[in-house]
Parts: sequence; structure tokens; C-alpha cells
Amino acid sequence: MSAFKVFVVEDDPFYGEMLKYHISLNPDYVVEKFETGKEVLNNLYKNPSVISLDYSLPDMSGLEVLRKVKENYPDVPVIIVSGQEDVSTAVNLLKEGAYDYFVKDDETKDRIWNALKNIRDRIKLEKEIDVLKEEIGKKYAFGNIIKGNSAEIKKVFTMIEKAIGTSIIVSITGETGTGKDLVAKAIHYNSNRSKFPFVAINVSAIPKDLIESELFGFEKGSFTGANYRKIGKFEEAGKGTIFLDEIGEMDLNMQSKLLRVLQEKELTRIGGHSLVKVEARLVVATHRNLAEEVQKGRFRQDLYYRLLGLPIFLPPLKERGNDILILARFFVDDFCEENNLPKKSLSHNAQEKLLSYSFPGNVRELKAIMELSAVMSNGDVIDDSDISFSSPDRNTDFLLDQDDTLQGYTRRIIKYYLDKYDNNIVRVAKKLDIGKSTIYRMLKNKEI
Amino acid sequence: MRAEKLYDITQLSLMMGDAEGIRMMLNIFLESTPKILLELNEGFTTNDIEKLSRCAHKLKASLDMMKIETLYNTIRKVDRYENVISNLDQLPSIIEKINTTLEAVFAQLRDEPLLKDQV
Repeated sequence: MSAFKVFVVEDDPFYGEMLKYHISLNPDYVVEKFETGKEVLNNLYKNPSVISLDYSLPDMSGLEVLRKVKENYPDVPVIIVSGQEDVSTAVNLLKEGAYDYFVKDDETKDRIWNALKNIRDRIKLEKEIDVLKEEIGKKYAFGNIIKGNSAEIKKVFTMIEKAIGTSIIVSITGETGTGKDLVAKAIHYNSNRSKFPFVAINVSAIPKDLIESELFGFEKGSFTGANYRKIGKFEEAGKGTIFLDEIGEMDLNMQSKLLRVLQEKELTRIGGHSLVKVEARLVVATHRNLAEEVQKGRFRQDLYYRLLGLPIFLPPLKERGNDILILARFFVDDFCEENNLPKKSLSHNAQEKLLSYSFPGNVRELKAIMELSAVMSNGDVIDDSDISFSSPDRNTDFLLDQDDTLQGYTRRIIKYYLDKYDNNIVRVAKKLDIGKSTIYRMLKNKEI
Repeated sequence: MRAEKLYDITQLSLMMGDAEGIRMMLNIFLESTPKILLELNEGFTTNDIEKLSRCAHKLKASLDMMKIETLYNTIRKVDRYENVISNLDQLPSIIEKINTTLEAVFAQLRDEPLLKDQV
């Protein structure tokens, strides 16, 4: 962190020197003293971290100096330290943007010490926020967030680019685990709204009775237990982006309220009367086919059209061909780096195994599989035996993910049920309506 | 019999933290206050109330820090233009009191052990 520069502006040599000496007791502070308003204004180019300003200066008043500082360097905090005990003067200076106002008395020492500490802490936090924002920006930069070069994913890139340039509502669809939330973040952090908040809310995770207050907020006293005013997610997002994940799970009553807010571009907090302008950009996502939901009467047609905006479809991983290997390598590299493991490559058999699997859990599942394989592999190559698929969603789909003989299918079915029922042979035999001896024989012959 | 001390450096000691700092401030006080006092007297003799009040205002914080209690209320009677105007009839005695008290303070300070110790 660069030096914390304190400018002390004081024409009384005694008081000025005393402040300078006292503040300099902190070795992290660099203090420079000025006796006139003109002098300090001429030195503002040195970028002081804070200015301690006497109200009565020989050449101009503290108010004039304060105004000029705020005009040219609005972020520099100015503390007025004055012999003036007049409250109206203090109030006026605070209204003009002074950080604080201290009367020169026995308490000045502690007050100025605390104020400088608070300002320093605040500057440190602001810098940390800037760094974090920059890191988030990098993290969600296009190439870092979505990997792949298949034709399917290139279509997605094109759509994201179109979304970034405008404020159109974006509706993202895709199976679970395809990265809908990442696309929403990529749109936000690469758009001109990135300096404002990204507020995500999973509609399916919030009880339907609470969703309205979560989205729109409520006023104090609007219902039993409303002991304070709550700002809703739309307001919280400000000029940023609000991401409504699993929008297909929203109940019809709430859908109509959302539609009204989107049409009017303003909302009223529950129990409130004043209108709050809605300026956030809306991105929605669902794993459901909303058009089908409309046909089934579970989703309002008018809201469907309102939300359609720019549709982005995220293809399932199994349709992305070689992207599976690109992503697999990325996840392994990332995991090894994070865990200080040597770099590992994928054997030919491992690649074949990955390409023949259906990935019902999509990218999320692939990530978990590759992290486990990196742990399981002993050398610097991940082999097919290091890769295991254990998706709970594996039902009959897994039978069709690769061609096999009838005998092969039989083996896989029995193996699947043995895994599922903890190797309880009696139970599996009953479930499949085959003899126990068949399973015992296959086990003995190492067929399964 | 020794005259009662007109100042108290307890507050100043708290602010400065060490003997070196206190000594430095006492020297600055002895150097700068007579100059301001001279200007204040000039303001008084030339009837320049603006100058007089500005100098009094400048002195106020130092006198408070040095805990010169005798002048606590006195200096506040002339530290602003409007205060001087409302105390015009007492002005000569106020200026007299400021002068004599501060002259006594200067004399006492010159005998201050902390200053005598300095090399």
C-alpha cells in the first residue's frame, strides 16, 4: 500500500506543528503542513490521502478551500479542525462534503486519530474491492468462463456477444449442469453494467410465499414480523443485472406480478406506496421447456413472450463432441494447480471412455469426474481405470451410451443393479426376475 | 514565594507523547505567540478589529492547549469580529489582561525545567 499522506492546513504555527507531530507518531503516516489555502490548493497534485483543514485561514475560509478541493479531488476526505464552536457552521461544512468537523479542544487528539484510522481502513477496503472487481472481471472474461470450440458452443458465444452490447432480456435454457449461471455472469461482467451488482436468485429455492418480498422488498410494519424495511433483489441490483434462475418454477400468481413490474419498469415494495424505478437488466434461466409449460398452463403466455428476449440455448455436453476433452483437460489442469499436483495428461483410453459417456449431469458432472480421476491416478497420466461414472441419474440411458452385445448389455444391467443395491444378490435377482445362481455364476466367472 | 503557575502542560504532554515533543512545542509557543500578540496589539491600536479578532482566534487554540485558564473566557470575548464589537467598552482591559498574563506565562516558561534541560 502506498504512503498515507496527511495534509495539515493550519496557520497557527503552534497548533499546526502540534497536529503534525501528533499525527506523525504513526510511522505509516506522512504529514505535510501548509499555512494558507493557496498553498494547499497548489499542492493537491501530490494526491493527499486526507486533509486536515483549519476553518479560519489568512487568505480564504475553510469553506472556500473545501469547495475547491471537492471540485477537483472529490474523493479526498477533508476533516475540518476549527476553533469555531458554531453548530450551523459545522452543519454547513458537512453538507458541503466535509468528512468530519472537530472543534479544537482536549478531545481533538483522539478524534483526529480515530478519523484517520477509519479513513485509512476505508481506503484499504475500497482498494480491495477494486482488486476483487478486477479479478472477477478477469474470471468471467469470455475465454475463461466458457471453454470449447464446437460449432454448438460457438453459437452460444455469438449470442452472448449480442447480449453484452444491449440491455435486452436474456433467457437461457439448457439441461442442469450446462453452466446457465456462468453464462449469466459472463454477460454481466463483460457488459457496461459490470460496475454495478450482479444479483442472482434461484426461484426454486425460495418458498412461494416469500418470493415476492425477496424480489420486491417490503416496508416496515407491512406484515407481522416486518420489523424493518427490506430492499428487494430488483432494487439491490440497481443498474446491474438480476438473474432469475429456474424461472419455470415460479407460481402463476407471482408470474403476473413479475410481468407487471417488467411492463411498468417500476415496482412497489410490499406494504409501500411509493414507486421504485427498475433499472436492472434481467437474465432468466430454466432447465424446462417454457413453451411446453405454457401449453400445459403452468406458465403465463404473456410472460413467456416478455421473457423470451434473446434466447440462448446451452447444448448438453454429450452434443459438444471434442469440447468434452477440452473441458476435461481444463478441469484436470485447474485441479492439479490448485492442489499442487504435477500436471497430468489423459491417456487414449481415458479419452475414449469420456467421449463414449452421456454425461447426464453435463459440465458439472464432468468437472467432478475429472477431479476424482486426478486424485485416483498415480502417475502423470490419467487412464480409463482412473475414471468412474457414478451419476445418480444413470438409468437406462447408460445402456445406450455405447454399442454392445446382448451379453455385454446383460452384464452391465446386472452390474448396475448390484451397485445400486449394495451387492445384495437376492434383491437384484428378484428385481430382475432371474435366478440367484445366474449372478453367482457370472461373479465366479468374473463376467461382472 | 513562587507565583502560581499560569499554564499546565498535562494536555500537551498527552498530545505529544514524549519530552522531546513537549519541549519542541514549548519552544514554538515561546517563538510564535509573541509575534501573534504583537499583531493583536497592532490591531487594537489601529482600531483594526478584523486583525485583532483574527489574531485572538489564532491564539485561542494554543492558549487552550497550554491550559492558560485565566484567559479562557477573555480570549473568547475577542476571537470573532462580532464578539469584539459587543465587548468594545471592555476592550482596553481585555487587551491589557491578555498582554500581562501572556508576559507572565512567557517568563514562567523560560524557567520551565524541561526547557532548561535542553542542550
